[in-house]
Amino acid sequence: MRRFFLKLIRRPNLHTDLETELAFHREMAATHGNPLSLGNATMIREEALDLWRFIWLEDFWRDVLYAIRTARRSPGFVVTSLLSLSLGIGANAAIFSLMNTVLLRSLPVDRPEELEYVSMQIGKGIQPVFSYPHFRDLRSGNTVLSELFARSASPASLVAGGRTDRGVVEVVSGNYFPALGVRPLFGRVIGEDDDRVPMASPVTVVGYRYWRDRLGSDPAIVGKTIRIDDFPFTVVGVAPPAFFGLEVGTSPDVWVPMAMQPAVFGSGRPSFDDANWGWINVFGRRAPGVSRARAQAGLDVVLQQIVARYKKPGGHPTIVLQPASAGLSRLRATFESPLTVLMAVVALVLLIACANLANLLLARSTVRHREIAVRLAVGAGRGRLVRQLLTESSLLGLVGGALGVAMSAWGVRMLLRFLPAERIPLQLEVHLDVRVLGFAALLSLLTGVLFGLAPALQATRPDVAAALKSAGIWRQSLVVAQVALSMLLLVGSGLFLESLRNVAKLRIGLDTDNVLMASMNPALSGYTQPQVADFYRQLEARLHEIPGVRAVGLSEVALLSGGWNGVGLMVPGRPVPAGGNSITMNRVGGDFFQTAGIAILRGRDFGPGDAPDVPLAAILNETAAQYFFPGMEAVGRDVMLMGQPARIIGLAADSKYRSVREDTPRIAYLSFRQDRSPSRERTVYLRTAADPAFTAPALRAVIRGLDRNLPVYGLKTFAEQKAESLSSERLLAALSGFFGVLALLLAAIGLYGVLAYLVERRTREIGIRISLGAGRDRVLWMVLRGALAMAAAGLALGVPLSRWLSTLVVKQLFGIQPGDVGTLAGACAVLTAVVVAAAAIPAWRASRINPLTALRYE
Amino acid sequence: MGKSASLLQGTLDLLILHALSRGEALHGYAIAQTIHLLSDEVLTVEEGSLYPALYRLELDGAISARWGVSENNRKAKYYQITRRGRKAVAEQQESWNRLSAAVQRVLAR
Repeated sequence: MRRFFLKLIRRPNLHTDLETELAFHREMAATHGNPLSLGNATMIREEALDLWRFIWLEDFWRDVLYAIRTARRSPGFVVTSLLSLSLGIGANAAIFSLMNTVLLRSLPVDRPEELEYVSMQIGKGIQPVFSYPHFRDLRSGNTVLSELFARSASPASLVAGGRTDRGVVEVVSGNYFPALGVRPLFGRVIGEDDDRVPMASPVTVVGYRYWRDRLGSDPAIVGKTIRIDDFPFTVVGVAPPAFFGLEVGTSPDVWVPMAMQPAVFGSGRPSFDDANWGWINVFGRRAPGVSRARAQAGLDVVLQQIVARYKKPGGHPTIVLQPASAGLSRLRATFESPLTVLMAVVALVLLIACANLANLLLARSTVRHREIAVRLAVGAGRGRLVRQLLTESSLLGLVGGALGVAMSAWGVRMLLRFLPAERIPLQLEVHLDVRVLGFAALLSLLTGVLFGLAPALQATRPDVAAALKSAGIWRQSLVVAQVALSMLLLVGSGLFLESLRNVAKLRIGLDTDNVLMASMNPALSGYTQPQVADFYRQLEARLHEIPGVRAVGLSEVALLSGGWNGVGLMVPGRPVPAGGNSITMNRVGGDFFQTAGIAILRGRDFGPGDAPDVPLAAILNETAAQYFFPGMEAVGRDVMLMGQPARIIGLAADSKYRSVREDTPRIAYLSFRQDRSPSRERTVYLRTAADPAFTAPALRAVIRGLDRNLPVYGLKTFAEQKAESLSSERLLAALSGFFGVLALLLAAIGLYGVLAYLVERRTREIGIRISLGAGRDRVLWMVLRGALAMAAAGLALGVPLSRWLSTLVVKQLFGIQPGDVGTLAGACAVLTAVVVAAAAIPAWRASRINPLTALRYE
Repeated sequence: MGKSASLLQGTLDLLILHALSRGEALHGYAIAQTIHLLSDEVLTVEEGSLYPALYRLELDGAISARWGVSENNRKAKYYQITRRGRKAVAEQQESWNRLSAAVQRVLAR
């Protein structure tokens, strides 16, 4: 350190200082009549001064300038290697930044590592939600956690400044913001005093994004009123920009105190004080020094007292604490393994790109062997030359990395399109943070140094002939490695494509062609129950009037949306089946079965006779009928559904409900006509004669004609809905396919480079062969054979490797085995074709060699 | 060089430090002269080795340098030993003594 500063201070005068000193010395020697002991003046200077310079740094700078100069002279080399690298690094940065957001990044709150997610374990299952009374008692009994707080999110309609938006409201306990340490951008946050008395404090903190986009960044927003689900709330503060709540991908637009829950969750929900209704996620903050096990045990004691007080929930729940530093994520479960697989895929792509870089560098060093030999001959140290070559390759790596990061921004936007738009809209803040940039920088440097090192050592070998020979071997092995790696990627994408095809071919019991769907919830806009019923009656009638609409159906839960409504079904006089008495329920209206393409097999569809005042009519699907009435006729039976008597009037064909990949569920359908509180979200389905997308504007117009402020969401075709239900499969298939093609392209470039170089080097030899009578096709075959030999070696490595690696992704596969022979054979065929194509031009050029020119060559 | 003996590698540092350890600040020529005189004119320090050695010792912090005016009124750079230098001179002297005694013993047999 001291030396560093000393050097820094003295640096500017170093040269003149020494000159003055030497001149003085000579003068003194002369006046004293001493014989001049003249050394080599330049040597003295170099020796004395080198010590004091930042040699390494100055040489480095010179290397950089030299690298830029040489790069300008060979643009083809630079462009190819930068393209390879930026594609490789860009793909890695894109997948990594998505992974970082979904899986890794900590919440932007105080000491996120202390946060614990509190849930209950009942038997083998995890119950993540608590009822309000449970939470209240848990909190008052808690002595082990420094804070215990709660939240629950729900879709809501937000009215501000005359416009209505659909958004997300999060109800939070009074200690939520203080416990997280989130301070407002301005105004104040919700505090304990807002959460003491139910419905007493209608205040709200608005999210930064909502404030910016919908409230026009109004600086005087505090004190103004916005309506949330048609209830007036006073804005008291704005949340900071970075804070998105505790659930990755769900960014609340507004926060309200938990005591205001009855105002915002819509009617038709059980009451706030119902100990049987779980709806709250509970979080805790562990005090420093308290272990997770101790906190868990302490909290469990409190839970056991609570369970004793309210007999519910059934079973024997125990408290489970999980680290929550990265928040909750509904995306994590869905995308954790696909993202991990993709990360491995892009790593392979990067390896192939690096092989290309090494290959190009080797090629270049053979081209430059004359220059390097001269420099070695005039006394340049080998270490110095290696350092210079490494500077060149690292520079390539860094520039490629910078380009790659730029590309990844675009790549991330493409990736986000694969994520499904669900009931609560997805808002992901994927941005470049230190971690992503560090990751990319590290990758760039590593590729530059690691893959530049071997070529650099190679190029500076003193024995030129041996160097050239082993460079050739190196380059061929690199191509073999590329072929093997491409094989892995191709097999992977083949398997993923095939399983997507298999999943898409699954019989889902729904006819998704020519159906348009859209969802709405007038109750959130302040409609009373009779108004809601009236609204839907009018809507159904007007939708029938749209030209080209064959049928109109409605359902409470949108099909294939992931939404779900589970209830219990009891058959009087029969024991509860071993698998429990749960059944999935959906209320339907209009020509639902016809629009969704579900056949009524026996009995009848709902009709006008199923009025509110007659006993409930239910239609079961086949799976439910066989489950509850094995070997018996179900139609005509009386059952208890949700504790009410109901008669089974019909049997519907099996169909999927939540998602395409689920096992066919047991389903009970009820009619909207008999719904006593018709106040929930509904989805309409229009079966059209032509492409349903053309009907979308008309559908919007009809709804706007009824209420221009009612938000409509989830407007898409049924086919799109089905595709979204397969988002993780599509993500894998599309991206692994894309990267497979990319890998092929990179490998083809590498192979072409090697062959073109080999042919060039053998021009003379080939010329002699031709002049001695070798046929053109024989020459052609000779070159092709070389290429095929490399391909064969690559395949020989790739086949067992991909058979082994594909067993690791068995969970992502559907209806296909990891070592599928067809896929392997297909990948081999594609690779061989690409190899032949890449070899064709050099081979053709070799066969065209004119013996006369060739003999004069060099 | 004539009758002057060549310097053993590493001994130049010791000689320079010793010349300076007498307390006075000296310029490069004076250091060379001091060594020359103290060795009864056996040792001659060439500038080719003197100045690199001085620069190295300064960088190591064994000596410090400042510009001054010489006896004949010229600008000259004066070197002075530092505390670190004094410690080094003691250590180097010790190891030199051991080395030269060892060489003596070998040659005496």
